[in-house]
Amino acid sequence: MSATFTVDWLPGSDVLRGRCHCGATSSAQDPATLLDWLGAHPDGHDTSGPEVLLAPLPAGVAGDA
Amino acid sequence: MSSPVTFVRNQWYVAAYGREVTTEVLGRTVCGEAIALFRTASGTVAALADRCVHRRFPLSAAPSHVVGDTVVCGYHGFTYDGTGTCVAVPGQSRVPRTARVASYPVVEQDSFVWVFVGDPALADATRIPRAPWLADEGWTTVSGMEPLAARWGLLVDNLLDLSHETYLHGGYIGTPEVAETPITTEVDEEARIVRVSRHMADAACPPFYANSTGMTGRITRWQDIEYFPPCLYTLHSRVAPVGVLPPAEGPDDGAFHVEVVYAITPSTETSTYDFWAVARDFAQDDEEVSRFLHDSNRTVVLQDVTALDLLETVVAAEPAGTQELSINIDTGALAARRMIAAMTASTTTATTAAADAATGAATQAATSAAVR
Repeated sequence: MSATFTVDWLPGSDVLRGRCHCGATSSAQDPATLLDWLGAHPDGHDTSGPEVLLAPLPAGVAGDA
Repeated sequence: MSSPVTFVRNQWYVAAYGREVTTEVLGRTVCGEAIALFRTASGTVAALADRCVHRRFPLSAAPSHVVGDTVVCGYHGFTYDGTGTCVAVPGQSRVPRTARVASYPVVEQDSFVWVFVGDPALADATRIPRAPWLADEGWTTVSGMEPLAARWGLLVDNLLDLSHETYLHGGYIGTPEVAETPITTEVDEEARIVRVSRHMADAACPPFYANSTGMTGRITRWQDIEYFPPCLYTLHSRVAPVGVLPPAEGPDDGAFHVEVVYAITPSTETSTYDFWAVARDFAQDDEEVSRFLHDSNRTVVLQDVTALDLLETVVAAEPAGTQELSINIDTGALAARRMIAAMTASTTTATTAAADAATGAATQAATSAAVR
């Protein structure tokens, strides 16, 4: 399995979305928090559930892609 | 005092450009290790510990000199071959068995001279990251090296976050769109690559590209970074008139391509070699364009040098653990820091394990001897 993960900065927002190689995703507005979560794989990485919100997102920003 | 600077050992580092290594001995310090580089009569590059085993005189200092495939110490004439073996000493025919200096694995590739710092048994040349444009036909390259009076991590931070172009390099490569455009960061932990991409659909054309390509209007500008920690950084830069995208198939000949390469080589804890190169696939025989890109990029590098040298004095004076603030633009640099920390930790673990194994073997040998 590839050990690649990505962090996208959602256009028009301050939100970063992380996608782990296992398929789990999460969002945050702080890169350190998001990298902590991605680096902790598989802890907290549940691909069957909804996206993990590592911090409350601003109003109007979707929590899932 | 600031946090201690660590080096990642058991890695390949750029010690010089191939053109710098001649039959005059060149001294470089890489990860705190003084290295003497020279080219033998047969044309290969030798890299030896830069201290004569006799009285520690630097082999890179005059009047030390190269004779054929050997280097002769300028103090008492101890003579070493390219492997570091002493082949002659003055006044006697017997060369002591212990008369040798350490040699470093060397590979000359992509215009660089790479040396392996660490356990030579772990030197795998296939792990050296590539920058083929610097030596391939079809590309024209300008390059240089500027010494930094700053720790190497500051240059990694600098290059992984190009939003600073807008503020530090305005009038050269910076425009407002660089800082305004969101980035995508990709981390390949297995291959040990950090990628940061910033694709600007409609941006001002900075002088660096306007004057070299002749484009006068707004442009589509892509910056795709690939960083291979610890040493090699590549920036694949694509510029084209607004709206001109790569075709689904065939060559991307509607755009101009520039490969910007940096080799980040730690020298001491607070100094770094900043090797830089700019390769282009257009105006390849135009000397004026070469001169312009060389002078512009060197100016940009020197702007970084001034900023990072100043930053080093600030960081060095701060207590360890002084807090920074990171925001979205720092994602790539933070990812790089984490990868470097993991590489440092794994190297330390491997070194400790090797030392433990050696100690264990020695203990076992001593015990066996005692039993006998």
